Amino acid sequence: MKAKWIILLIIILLSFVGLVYFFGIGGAIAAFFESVAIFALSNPDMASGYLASFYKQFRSVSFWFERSAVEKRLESTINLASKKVNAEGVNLLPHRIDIKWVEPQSRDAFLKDGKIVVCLESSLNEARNLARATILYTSEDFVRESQRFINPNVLKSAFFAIARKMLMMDRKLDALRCLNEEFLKSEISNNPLIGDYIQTMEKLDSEGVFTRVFLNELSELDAKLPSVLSDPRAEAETVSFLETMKKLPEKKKGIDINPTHRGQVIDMSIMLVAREGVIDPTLYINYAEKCWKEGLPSLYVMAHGNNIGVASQAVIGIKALGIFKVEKEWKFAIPTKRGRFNSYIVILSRLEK
Amino acid sequence: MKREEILAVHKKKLEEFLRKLDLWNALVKGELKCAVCGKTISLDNIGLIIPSGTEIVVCCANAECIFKAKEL
Repeated sequence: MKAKWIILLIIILLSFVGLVYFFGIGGAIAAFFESVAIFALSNPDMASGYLASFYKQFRSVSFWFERSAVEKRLESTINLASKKVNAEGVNLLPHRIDIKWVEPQSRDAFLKDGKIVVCLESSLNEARNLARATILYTSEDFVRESQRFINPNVLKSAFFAIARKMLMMDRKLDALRCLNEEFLKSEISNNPLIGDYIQTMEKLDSEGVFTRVFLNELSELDAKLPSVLSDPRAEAETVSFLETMKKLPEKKKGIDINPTHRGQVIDMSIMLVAREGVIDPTLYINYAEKCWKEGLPSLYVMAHGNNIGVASQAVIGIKALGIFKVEKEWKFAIPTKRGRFNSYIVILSRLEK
Repeated sequence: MKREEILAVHKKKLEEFLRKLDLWNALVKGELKCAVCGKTISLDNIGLIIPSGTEIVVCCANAECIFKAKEL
């Protein structure tokens, strides 16, 4: 990511110097427009955000500016946030949002089109629009193909947890407040279980496992199950899986845990590399071998701070045994009260010998 | 990356939009109800406009209603 910005900056600087050198002031003006174009083409979502602010300034001049300001702000914020969420998981939000304004049309034409229309407010009410569009977008797009296999309370809680995460990523605090006040409060008062589930999901997120482990397993349900409308067994397992995952943030120092869910649909284990002072990965390689012998299809390796080195050694050892292969690997930092904390998660999938 | 199209109507165009759909009078008279929770719909709480078979229904901007309305 950083490399992309450095390359972009070098290109812009070189062309700026070149144009000014050869064409003087005219070259400087051309270079300015060229830089803007390069930036916009390489960062369309970020450019959309600036465009939204620009259009908003002219909202009283024409309705077109007002409408475009609303459209660009929503597209920019949601697409940037969904890109960040997707970087933490495996295709959790597979589509970009595209706001299309509908013109007034006859009743028959509307019925024939058969598409739902959402009502959006003025660009001055950005927070409300953002909260509404984010919840609508996540409820449509989030693990789209697997939604029908997830327990309704778990699914609804995941919609809210993802929507809150997306708004927090971009520090859209007004929209977050709006989401809490106008949507979440009534939902929790009707069904307190949703509040508990969201809390658990947010604790998992603070450990880095909400998107990378929990949602990854949910997103794979469609591929694991036949093409049926729903599956009560899978729905029940999504609840028990969340209960299993709950153990992670509750882990006490010095106590070994390896959260394992051995269901018929969700069948996985997390190998937590967390023992202090252990530098030999054999213990962890043996655990992976035991999991393989027991027929486990997925194993997640997780470590924080100083244990990352041992965990990556263990992953190398497991790969060498030919029992699991690496599906995905993340090295990331978790923000904590004491600063950023390095973390490591690997998804391993079973290989047949 | 594929696109998830969300159709939208701006609040400023809502009156014209609802008039075309023959829903405006019902809204003004307070006869337009949320198809999910039954709450009276006004310009302030209208969330979605949904074609449902031969009917057009509306739902309020409540999360529960938005989730359920998509299945109507």
